Amino acid sequence: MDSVLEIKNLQMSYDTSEGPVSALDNVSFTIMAGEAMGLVGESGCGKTSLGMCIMKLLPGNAKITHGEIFFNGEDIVPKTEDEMRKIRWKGISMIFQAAMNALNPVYKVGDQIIEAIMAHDTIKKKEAKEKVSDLYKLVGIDPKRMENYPHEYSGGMRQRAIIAMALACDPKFIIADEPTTALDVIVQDEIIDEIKIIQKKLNMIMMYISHDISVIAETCDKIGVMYAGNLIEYANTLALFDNPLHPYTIALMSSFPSIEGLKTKLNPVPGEPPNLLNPPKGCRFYPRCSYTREICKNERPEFVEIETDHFLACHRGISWK
Amino acid sequence: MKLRQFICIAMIFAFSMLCTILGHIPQAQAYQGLILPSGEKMAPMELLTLTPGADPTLNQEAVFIAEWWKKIGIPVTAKAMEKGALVKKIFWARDYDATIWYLGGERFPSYMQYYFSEAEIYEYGWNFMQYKNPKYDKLSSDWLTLLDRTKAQQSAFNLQKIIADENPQIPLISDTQLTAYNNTRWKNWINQYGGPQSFDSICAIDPVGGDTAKDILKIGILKEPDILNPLGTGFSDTWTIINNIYNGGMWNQPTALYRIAPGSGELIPFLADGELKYDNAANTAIVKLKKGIKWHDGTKLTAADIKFTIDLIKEFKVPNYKDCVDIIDKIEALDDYTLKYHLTKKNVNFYNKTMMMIILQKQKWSVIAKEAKAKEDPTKYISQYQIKNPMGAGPFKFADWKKGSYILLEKNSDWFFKDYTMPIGTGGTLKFDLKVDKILFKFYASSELRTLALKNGDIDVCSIPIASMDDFKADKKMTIVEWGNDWTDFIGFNCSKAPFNDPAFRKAVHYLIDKDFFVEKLQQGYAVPQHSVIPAVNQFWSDPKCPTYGAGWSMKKRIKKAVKILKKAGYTWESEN
Amino acid sequence: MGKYIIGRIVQIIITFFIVISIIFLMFRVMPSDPSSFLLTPSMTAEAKQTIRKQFGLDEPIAVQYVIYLKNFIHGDFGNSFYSGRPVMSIIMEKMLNTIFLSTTAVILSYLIGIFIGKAIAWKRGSKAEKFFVILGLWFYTTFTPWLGIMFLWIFAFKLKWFPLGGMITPEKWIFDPSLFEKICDLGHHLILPLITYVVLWFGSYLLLMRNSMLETLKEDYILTARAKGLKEKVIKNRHAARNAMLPIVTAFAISISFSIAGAVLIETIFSWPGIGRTIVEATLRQDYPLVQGAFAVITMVVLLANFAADIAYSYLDPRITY
Repeated sequence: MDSVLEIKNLQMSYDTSEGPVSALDNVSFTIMAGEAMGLVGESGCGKTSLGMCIMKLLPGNAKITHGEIFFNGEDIVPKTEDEMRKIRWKGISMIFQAAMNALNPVYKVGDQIIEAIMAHDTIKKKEAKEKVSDLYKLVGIDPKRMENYPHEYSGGMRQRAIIAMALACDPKFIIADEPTTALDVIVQDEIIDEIKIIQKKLNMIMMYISHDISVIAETCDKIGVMYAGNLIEYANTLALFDNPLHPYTIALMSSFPSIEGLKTKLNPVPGEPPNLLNPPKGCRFYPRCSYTREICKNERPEFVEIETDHFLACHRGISWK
Repeated sequence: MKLRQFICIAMIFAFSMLCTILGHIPQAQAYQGLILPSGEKMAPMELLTLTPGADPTLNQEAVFIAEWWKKIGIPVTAKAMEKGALVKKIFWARDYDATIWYLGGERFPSYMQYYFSEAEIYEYGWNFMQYKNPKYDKLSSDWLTLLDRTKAQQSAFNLQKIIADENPQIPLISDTQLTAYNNTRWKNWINQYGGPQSFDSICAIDPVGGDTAKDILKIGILKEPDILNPLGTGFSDTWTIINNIYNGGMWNQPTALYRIAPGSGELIPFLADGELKYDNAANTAIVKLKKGIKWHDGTKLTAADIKFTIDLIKEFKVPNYKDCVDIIDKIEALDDYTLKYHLTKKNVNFYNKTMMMIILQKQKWSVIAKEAKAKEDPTKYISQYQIKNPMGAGPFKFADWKKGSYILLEKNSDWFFKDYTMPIGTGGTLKFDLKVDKILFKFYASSELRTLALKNGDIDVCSIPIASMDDFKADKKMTIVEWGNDWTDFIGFNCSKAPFNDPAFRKAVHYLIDKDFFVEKLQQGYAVPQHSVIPAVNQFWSDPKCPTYGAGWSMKKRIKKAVKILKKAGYTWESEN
Repeated sequence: MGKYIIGRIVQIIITFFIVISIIFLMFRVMPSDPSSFLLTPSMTAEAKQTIRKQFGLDEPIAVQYVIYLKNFIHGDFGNSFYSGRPVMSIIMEKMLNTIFLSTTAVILSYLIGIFIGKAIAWKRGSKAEKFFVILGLWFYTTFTPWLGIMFLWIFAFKLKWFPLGGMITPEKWIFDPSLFEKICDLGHHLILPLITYVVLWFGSYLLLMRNSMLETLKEDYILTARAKGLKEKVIKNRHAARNAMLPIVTAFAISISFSIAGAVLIETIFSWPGIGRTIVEATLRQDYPLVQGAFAVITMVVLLANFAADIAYSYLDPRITY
C-alpha cells in the first residue's frame, strides 16, 4: 500500500506577546491509501492545529518551524499559498463542525458547494449543480434543499451538507474535525455511519479528529493519541485497545465509558496539561504521569515503533523493549 | 511610574489646587455688607447680560461692573442670558434688578420720550426700567411738539440732563464700526453717518483708474434677507439692500421726502421740493414734490403714490410704520405734486418719521392690497408678501436674487438724482455721480470668511472685526474707515425695586464704572465712552455737557466718592475699614 | 412581510406625531419670546400686540397645539416668522443644496471608508493598517471648524485653487453663463467642502468597516472559504465583506439622515446655503414654524431611512424575515 500522507518530525508554534507557544512538536505518522486515521486527545492538545497544518490554513502568527508533510509524495510545507489553493478541497478537504458557523449565512447552501466545485474544476454551473444534487442524494438530503439558506436547515442536515461539500471536489484525503460534536446522540450515530460508509465507498483516506475515543474506535483503522502537542502513541485500533502502552492512553481509555455502554469507573488523569509557552524539558506528560522516573524529567522520549505499526513516545515503553 | 514623575505631577497638582483655593478666598474688601437706609441688609442682586457668544463685549462689561460694585459691599453677580430670554425677563416679566441692554439707531431720538415715559410702564411697554418722573414726562411730551429746532435741541439737552442726574440708566460705551474697502477698485468713499456702505457713499464713489462702467461693486453681507418687502422687514442687512432701491439714506428709514442732516438735525428736501409749510393754527402741512421723479418702470412718482402709501399703512395697520401714520388724520393730494397732511396732534414725529417714510408705487401695491383684503389676516398677508421684483425710484433697480448666493442690483440710469449735488447739512455737499454699474451683495455665513473674501478681492467692502485690524493696516490695498455707531449700551435699573429706586444709589454705582477701561481693554480703543443716553455720534441731539461721573479717576477715588454719596443717603455697612 | 410593513408604517406615523409634539413643546418651554426678535424700538404697544397675534402667540398653548397638528395633517408647515415665506418652500430650497453637498459627501466617504476599511482589515497588523487607523482616528476626532478653516486658508486663500466658500461665483452667474459653465462653477465650489467632509467622515466608516470586517474574518465560514481553496479576492469580497457590510447598512441609513441635519458646521464655514445653517439661524431667531418644519422633515427622513435600512437588511441577511 502507498502512503498518501506522511508527516515527519512536524514542529509548529504560535507567536504570542509572551513568546512562542510550541503547539506541535515532534509529530510523525503515515496514513496509507484507504485508511481512516483517528486523532484523539484533550482539547488544546493540538489535534485541530495538526489538521490546519496539513491544510496549511494556519493563522498569521503560526509557523511550521520544522518537519515535512508529504502528500502524494510531495512536501507541501514549502508550497506557496497559490499552490496550496489548488491542493485544498481537491486534494485535501475538510468536514467542519456544523455547530460552528461553517456555512456562510447569507448564501444558499447549494451555491456554497457549487462555488467550491467551480473554484477547482472548469465545468458549467449547470453540471456543478447536478453534481451537488448527486452529493445531496449521497448524504441523504433532498436535493431541493439546495435552494435553502443554512439557517433553514436542522443541525443534522447542516452536518450532512457540510459532508457533501467536503466531497464536492472528489478529494483524496478528508480531515473530519469533530464533525459530530453538538449533535444529539441519534443524529451523531447516523452521521458517523454515513461518514464510515462514504469513506469506504469512495476509498478515500481520512483523518478523524475527536476528543471522544469511542467515536474514533468505531470509525477508524488507526488511532493516534495526542498530548500537549506531541503524538504520543499511534497504532491500529485493535492493537491500541488491546495493548495501550502510554500511561496517558491508558488513562484516556479508562476515563471514557466503554463501547458497550457499561459504565466502568471513570479514571480521569489528575492535574492540568502543561503550559506550552514553557513545556517541560523532558516528557511533556511527566508532571501528570504516575510512572515517572528520573529520565522522564530530563530527556524527551523518542517516538519509535516498538511493535509493528505501534509507535510510542514513552521512556517506560521503550525500556520494556 | 517613577517616583520622580510622581513627585512632579503631585507638585503640579498641589500648585493648581492652591491656586484654585486662593482664587476662591474672598479678597479683603474695605466695605462689606451694604445696609440700606431702611436698616435691611441689601439682598443679593443679579446684573443681567447677554451670553459671551451673543455679545462678548456686553458680557464682559457686566462681569467687570459686578467686580467693581462688590468693592462697596454690593452683593452682585453677573448673569448671562440668551437674548430672547433676556428680552422676556426685562420687557415682559420685569422681575429683574439691573440689566445691560442697548439702544439707538434713530436719527431723531424719539426714544428719549418713550423709554422713560410712565405711559410705557405696561406689560409690553418700552419703559422696562419703570422710571417714573411726572416732570420728565411733561417735558418730553412737550419736546415732541417743539417744531423750532433750537428750542427742541435745548429741550432734548434738558431731558438728557435729567436722566444723567437721576440715572435710571447708565450709558456705557458705543463701539466704533470698522469698515475696510479695497482702494484699488473704488475711491472717494464717503465716511458719514452709516459708514462707507451707506446710500450716499455708494452713490458718490468712483472707480479707480478711469471709467470702468462694467464694474461691479461687491459688498459682503452676513445675513441673507429672506424677504425684500419694505413693510415686513425690520433687519438692518435687508435695509442695506432696500435703501438702494427705494432712495434710502439710513439703515431703517429710507429717506423719502426729506432727510435729516446729521450735524444740524435740519430737514433737507430730497424728493420734496423746497421747505415744508406747516400751518400751526390748522395743524396741517403742505409738501411739494419734485417734478420728474420716475419709478423704475418709467411711470411718474406723484402725490397719489404718497397718499396711497399712507392710506395703505393706516388701513392695514402695518406695525413697522404705525407711528409714522398715527399722527395723520387725513392726507390729500391737491394735485400731482402737492400734498396736504391733516394732523391729529402736534408731534415732531411728523417731521422726523412721516417725512422719511417709505413710498410705495400705487400701481403695483394696489393689486397686492386688493389680494390682501380677501385674506383672513390682511396685515400679515401684506407685510409678508413675497415681492419678486421690488419697484422703487432709487438709484438701483432690482435685477436678480439667487437664493443662498447673491442679490444683484443694476444702475438706474434714469435716476432723478444722478449727478445731483446734495447738501449734507454741515455746509458741505455731495455729488451723486452714480458710477457704480451694478451692486452685487454676496452672502457669507461667517465674518471670518467674509474678511478673507475681502482680502482676496472677492468683495470690495465690508465690516471687519477689531481682531483683523493689524492685518488690514499692513495691507496697502485696504483702507480702513472708522465711524461712530449710533447705538450705545447701558445699564438699566429696575426702578420699582429698592434700592434701585433710590437715585442716590444709582448715582453712587455710576461712579464705580470705569468706561475708559472698557474702551481700552474690551474694544482696544475702538469705542467711545458714553455719558448721555443719546450716542455722541448723533451730534445735533446728543448733549456734550452731560456729567462724566469721574472720567479719568482712579478706582480708589471712585470708591471714595460712591461711599460718600451712599453715606450721605443713609447707607451703612456691616463692616468698613 | 406585508403585515410587517403595515405595522412599521403605523409605527412611523405614531413616532412622527410624538416627535413633532415634542418639538412643539420644546419651543414653547424655551424661556424667551419669538416676537422679541422682530420688535423694533419705535413700535407702539398695539403694534407689538399685532405681531404677537400674527404669530398666533396670543392663543393658549393648547389651542396653538391643535392648530399646529391640524396644519401638519394638511401638510401645511405654516409661514416663517422671519420672512413670511411658506416653510415648505424654504426647506425644499435649502434641502436640495444640502443633499447636493452632504449626501454626496456621505456616499463618497462611505465608499472610501468601506474600501480602505476592508483592505486594512484583510492586512491586519501591516504598516498600512496602522497608518490608516491612526489617520482615520485623527481625522475622525479633528475639530471640524479648524480643518475647514485651514483648508479654506490654504487652498482657497493662499493657493487660490478653490473659491472662498459659497455655492456659485455670483460674478459669473450674473452674466448668464451656459449650463456647462454653471455645472463647472458648481463643481469648483463643491470640491473643497466635499473634501473636508470626506476627510472628516471617512474615518468613522473606515474604523467601523475595519472592526466589522475583523469580526467577520474570525468567523468559521471564512475558514471554510479558505479551506475550499477560493481565491483571496473572492473570500475578501464575497464572503467577508458581504457579511461585514450588514451592520454598516444601518449606519449608512442613519448617516444619510444625519447628513441632512449634521451639515451645520461645514455649511457655516463654507457659506453653503443649506438646511443645517437654516436650522441654526432659525433657532437663534426662534422662527418656530421654520424650525418645526425642518425638524419634522428631518424626523421623517430619519424614520424613512431606518425603515428602508430594515427592509434592505432583510434582503441582505436571509436570516431576517418579517
